[in-house]
Amino acid sequence: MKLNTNITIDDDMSVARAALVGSLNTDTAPAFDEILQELVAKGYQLTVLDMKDLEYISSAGLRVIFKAAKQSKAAGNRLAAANRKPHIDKVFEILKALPDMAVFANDEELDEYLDAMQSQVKGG
Amino acid sequence: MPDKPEQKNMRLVKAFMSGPMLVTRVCIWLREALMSLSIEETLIGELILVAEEVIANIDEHGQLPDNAEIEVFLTSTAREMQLEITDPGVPFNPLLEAGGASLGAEIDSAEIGGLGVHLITELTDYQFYRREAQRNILHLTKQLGAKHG
Repeated sequence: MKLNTNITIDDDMSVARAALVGSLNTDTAPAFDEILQELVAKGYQLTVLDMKDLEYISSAGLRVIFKAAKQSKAAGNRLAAANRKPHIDKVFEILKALPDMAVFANDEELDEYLDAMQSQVKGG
Repeated sequence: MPDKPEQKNMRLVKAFMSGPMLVTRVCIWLREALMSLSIEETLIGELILVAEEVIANIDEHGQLPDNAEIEVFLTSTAREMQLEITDPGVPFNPLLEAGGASLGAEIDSAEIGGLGVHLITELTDYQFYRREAQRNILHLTKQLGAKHG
């Protein structure tokens, strides 16, 4: 029932990727909140929460994610979720937790988005 | 001879003391209990989520005394799973919070209890609260095979 967060940064693209491994629940949400707040405060254009290895999420976890999503949006950036498993998706849907947040069903969708971002950057 | 062994009625109970990692302690026990019943993984996950939201609510609103004892009853029958959670906190009916839940864009500012109860009511079929012997008792039933969401 632990949560590990592995962060990788692409400074050129201004993209941060946080891979969540384990459970985002009432007990693990406070520590994740600190990590995510720190990450969002750095002002990357896009922060992606990779949920491929996220096994479980509760309302406490969703609250942390959507606080960060609203803060990102207010700063002109985006927070996105990628690779949500069906049972994680269901929790998002029940709580109608989609506003202010991009969702990528898989790595391919995310890569397409990043390619488009890169094209915009190159295009000036 | 039937294809599957007939599922027997089973009732498990476990008491937890209030304190650090209460949610995790309850969820670990519940997962082990449900796995011993050969319940499908999706249902296990939903029942654990329901239990977490209930316990988090108790922690948030119960004003529990030191060393308070929270009891979790798990009843399994061929037709349904029942989860009953009791605590000695102040009188508090979490189900009354369900209507006040803010969803969607306002999720981060919504009351913890409201969001949790919304999940509880969506993921179970029947919910019943009573106050008895100075304890809050929340009884939840999930029918097996019922469609949700």
